[in-house]
Amino acid sequence: MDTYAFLKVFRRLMLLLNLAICAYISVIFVLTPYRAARQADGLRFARELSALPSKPWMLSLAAVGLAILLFLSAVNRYRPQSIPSPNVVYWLEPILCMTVIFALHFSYNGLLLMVVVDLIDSLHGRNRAYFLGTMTSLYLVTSLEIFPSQLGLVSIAEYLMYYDTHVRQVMQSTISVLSVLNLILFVVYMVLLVGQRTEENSTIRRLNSELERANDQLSILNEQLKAYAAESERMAETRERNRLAREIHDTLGHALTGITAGADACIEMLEISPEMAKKQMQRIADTARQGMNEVRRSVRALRPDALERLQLPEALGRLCEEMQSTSRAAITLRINAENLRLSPDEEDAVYRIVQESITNAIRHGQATKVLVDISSAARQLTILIQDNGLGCKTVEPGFGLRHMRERLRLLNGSLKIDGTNGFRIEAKIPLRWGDEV
Amino acid sequence: MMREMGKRLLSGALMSVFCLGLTVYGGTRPRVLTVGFVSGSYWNAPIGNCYAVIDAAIERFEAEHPGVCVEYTSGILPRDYSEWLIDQHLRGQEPDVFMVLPEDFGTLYALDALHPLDGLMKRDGSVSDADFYPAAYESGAIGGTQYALPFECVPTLMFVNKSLLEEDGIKVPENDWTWDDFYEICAQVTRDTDGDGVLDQFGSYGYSWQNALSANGISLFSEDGQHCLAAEPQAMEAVAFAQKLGWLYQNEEITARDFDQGNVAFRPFLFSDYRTYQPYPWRIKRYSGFEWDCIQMPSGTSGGSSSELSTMLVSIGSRSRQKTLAWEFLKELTCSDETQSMLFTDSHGVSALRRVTQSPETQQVLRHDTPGESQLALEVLPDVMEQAVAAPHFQNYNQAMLLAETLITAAMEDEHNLDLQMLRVQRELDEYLQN
Repeated sequence: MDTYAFLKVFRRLMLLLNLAICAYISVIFVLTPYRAARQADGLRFARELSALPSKPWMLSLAAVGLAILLFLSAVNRYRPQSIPSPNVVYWLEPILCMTVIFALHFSYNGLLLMVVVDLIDSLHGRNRAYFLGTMTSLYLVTSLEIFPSQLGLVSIAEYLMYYDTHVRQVMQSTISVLSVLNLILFVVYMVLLVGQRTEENSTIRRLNSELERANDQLSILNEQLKAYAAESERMAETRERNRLAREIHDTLGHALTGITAGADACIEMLEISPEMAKKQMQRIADTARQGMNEVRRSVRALRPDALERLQLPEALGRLCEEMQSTSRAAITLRINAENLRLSPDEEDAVYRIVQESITNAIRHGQATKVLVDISSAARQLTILIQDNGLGCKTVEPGFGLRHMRERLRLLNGSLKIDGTNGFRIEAKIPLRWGDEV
Repeated sequence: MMREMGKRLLSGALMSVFCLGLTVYGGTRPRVLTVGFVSGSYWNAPIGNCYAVIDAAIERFEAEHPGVCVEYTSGILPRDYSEWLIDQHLRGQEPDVFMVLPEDFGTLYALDALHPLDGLMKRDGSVSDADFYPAAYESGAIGGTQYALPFECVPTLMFVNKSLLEEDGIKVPENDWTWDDFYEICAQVTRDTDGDGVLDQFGSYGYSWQNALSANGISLFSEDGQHCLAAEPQAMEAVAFAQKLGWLYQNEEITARDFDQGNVAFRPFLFSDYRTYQPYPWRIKRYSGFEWDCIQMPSGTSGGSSSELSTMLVSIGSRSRQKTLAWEFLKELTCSDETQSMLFTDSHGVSALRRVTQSPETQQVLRHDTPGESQLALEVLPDVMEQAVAAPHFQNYNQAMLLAETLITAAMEDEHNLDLQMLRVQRELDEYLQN
């Protein structure tokens, strides 16, 4: 049997014992006056009393009080853990207990011990300290002999004086033995409870130290993980560098090689045939242009430099500033979406769209004013670029516009173009859940 | 929020309806006042209808207080009354207003069963201690607090066998007679009339040391029941007188028969007995061989002619729930002229109210009941009542008195060292009282 079961048994034993004691005392209180009255012995009985014995209904008060006490205790004990019992319950039990003690003329205060046993488990911290303090003082006060006589209450001892010495001794010893038994039960319960608590505490301490050890191991692993991350970053860098080198080699290298070779041939041919040299020069120029295109393509494939270093809004600001300083157009940038948390590909898309649109406006529309407006609403990012340039009746999508559309399609976005009043580009990108402002 | 408010309102409304119902119910139901009353005379005097006084009082009271019903249990004889009253208390069914026998007063006080009347009297204002004879009023007080008011009193008088005194040529003593006069007459009449060598005519019967104590203005116990005063000079003097009187009769056992046959000159006599036996036909039936009357008790050397007053009290139970009403009824019993004057017509006691006892109507009633020449007692009644003393009352008074009787009777047998014996008695009684 574990300690919990033991404690439960003790609680029940105490409950039964207290019930028995209270019933026993009540019976003496009720029956003695009736017996004396019936046997026409009231005068003798009354002379032994210090005051008028209370009316028999006081005892029914005790009985009702005790019944409610037991009910409360049961409710307290078996209520589902999910329902937090209000503080009232904790004070009702001692109050009722005092009522019963009062109704029994302070003849038995062991009930207080039962209440302590009943409630000590469910109280914690400051509440428990208050509770124990109150109960201790109540126990002391109710143990005072002068207290009942001051209140004009007749003690059980005076009732017992009515009986013959032998009967009286038996009755008195019964009460004392039961009371002492109650006290013993109380002490044993407390010892068991403290033992159980100590055991629990040591278990908690053991578990705690295990947790600490695990924690240490975890932090070591964490360090290793960090080192690994740094390593893999370095590797990524190297890979990127290699890719760049390859790119340069594949595009610039190829073109420059062609140009170098063509230029050498041109030098040779110039004296022999200027006509041929001219053709050769034309070819070199083509190659250079092609190389240029190649470079552009590969640079475009790389991430914009500005975005690498800056946040999107700063990067866009920088972009607009630069464009404004190299052209005569006034560019206004409005961003109505703060703390945008976009993924790198979305950022790329936004940056490129703005860049391409401004370039187009200046180059093809010869605009003097460009408005860039970025706003987010209803999980949708809207990019609007409006210029006061030439515009055009029918739009012929060039490389830039096609490219824009492709980028947007990858992000499930859409693009609207209107050239009737200046040039207006409206791009919409749906934002993902969780990335919202 | 609203629902909770509604619930609260509803429960409040229900409570008010319940309270209102209770009030209406309580209002329509007659209020019942219970009374504890002794059936028959406490002083063993035969009475025709022992409930005449209380029934009349109840009738008047109920007429004055509509909706109030006064109830009492009939048939409780004086000898059972103490037990009955205490049993009712034990069962928690004690009456609101009840008679208190003199011997129970201390016990009931010790049990806190009596409600103090001082506050009620003060609030009422119509009752004053000056209305009552002092001894009667004091017999309802303990430690300066009034717990009961006197309902009926019976003083002790001295029965005089006028025929016997006349035979010896002795005049019936005046009311201001003393121990010396008393002793002188007793010595004179005590003799052997038929010459058989045995005393057969005596001066007194039943004049005990208790009578002597009262006559000398002292009580055996202090008021609080903590000390015995047996060794006080006045007490010693009184006991010595009783002893001296006893020696006159040379250890002859005087019986009630001697007295009834007219062989005794004096006997302490209760006023109730006087009222019983004085009128026709009782007068002839009981004491047919001689003329008799009652006078005041003789006074001791240091006291007036005081005798102990036996008083039946009325109290309010300390647990009564209608104290004001109980007080009204107690007043009807003890302070109303109608009730109190009925004591002279329908009972054999004396009213403790001065104005009733001394009223011409009362004198008329008393005179009407008594034959022409014997009116001594009627004239002295107010004086006797004024000079009477109340016995102290504490819880164990009766037991202490029993013990004292044994001890003092034994002490009186010592012919030479009464003072020493009385000191011993005082020590023993002190011990008893303080335990």
